[in-house]
Amino acid sequence: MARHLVLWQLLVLQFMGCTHVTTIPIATTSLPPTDKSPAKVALVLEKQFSEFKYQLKQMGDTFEYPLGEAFQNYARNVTGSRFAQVSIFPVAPESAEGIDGILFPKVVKVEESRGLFTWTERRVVAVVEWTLKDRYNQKIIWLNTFDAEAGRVPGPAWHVKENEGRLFQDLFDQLSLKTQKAFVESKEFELLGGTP
Amino acid sequence: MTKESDGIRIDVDPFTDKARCETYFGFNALSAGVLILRVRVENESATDTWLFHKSQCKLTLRDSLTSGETGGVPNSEGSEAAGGAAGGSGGAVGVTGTALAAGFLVVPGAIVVAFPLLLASDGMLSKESEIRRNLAERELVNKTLSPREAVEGFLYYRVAKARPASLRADLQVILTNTKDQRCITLQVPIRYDK
Repeated sequence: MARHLVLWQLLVLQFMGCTHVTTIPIATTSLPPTDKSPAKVALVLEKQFSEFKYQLKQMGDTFEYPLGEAFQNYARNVTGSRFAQVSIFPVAPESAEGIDGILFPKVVKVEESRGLFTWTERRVVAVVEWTLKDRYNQKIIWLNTFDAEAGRVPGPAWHVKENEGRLFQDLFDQLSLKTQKAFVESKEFELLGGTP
Repeated sequence: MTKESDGIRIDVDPFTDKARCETYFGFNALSAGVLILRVRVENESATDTWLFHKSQCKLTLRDSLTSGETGGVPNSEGSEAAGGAAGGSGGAVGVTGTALAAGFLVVPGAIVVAFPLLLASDGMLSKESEIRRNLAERELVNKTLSPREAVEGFLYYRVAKARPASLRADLQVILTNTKDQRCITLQVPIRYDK
């Protein structure tokens, strides 16, 4: 009886999924210098964005990547490269005093393709949406969506972690450069801070 | 299929043939119960800026393809809808993988037999996840369209899992003018006969 119980427990353990949490250090992307707008913006980093966790479910296991900090750094970096004065809020500010516009970044999705083996290329896509709202009536002035894609072969076991880090670094570098470019080219951003 | 109004031009191209779906997305979408539409929205105006939001797109199916749901807003989890439906490979992968895991536990010698199966599982798993990534990457995005600007991408809708002889549907798109908050509605008829 006891032997059967142990066997059943082993079988149950075999079929139970585990959660593997991987924290990847992602450095802030070095962006090309641009002419900063004198406009004052509020950057709203809501919980969905600042605590974003990418989860991948594969064969009963869950692979979790807390990417919130990386997304926060990315948002601060691109906004700071375009505007001279950026105030950060966890929710939309109630008062429009001293603010020319309110920026909201949102993670739309992170998706990837991968195989079972480390020789199968792993490709990750991240999609982020940015909304610029009017300081008075909260109406949308500008909205744009950016995606970035990076791929890398995980390689032998002793290189997997390092390659994973490079993969996500490439992803955030691309995302930052694309976002900054759109911020610089946006006519709505140029007009920010003018007469209402 | 094109519709123009108030300086906005919308082109809709339904992906109804197997070959094109497989080339672009790696699976036969309609057989899997997913209707894929390639949509291009262009602001031809010289002065107005329009807000395009996916949630303001609605598909109404007129006859064939009608399933439990008759159209609706695009499936924002299009990748999941289609990924899961992609030839049923998702389910097959899970079963094979689990069976193999049990094989390793009980009889180590089974590795020799299991290895080719494991390779096949890897292929199926990477194909399924590639379809998901493809769908996510090509999906139409939300955007404000400045004068002379356009947005292009794909919308995904769940439909009945059957290859239709014809398709009669309407795609309704609502855009908002960012200056005066005025809304315009464009209805694009989608017609396809095999």
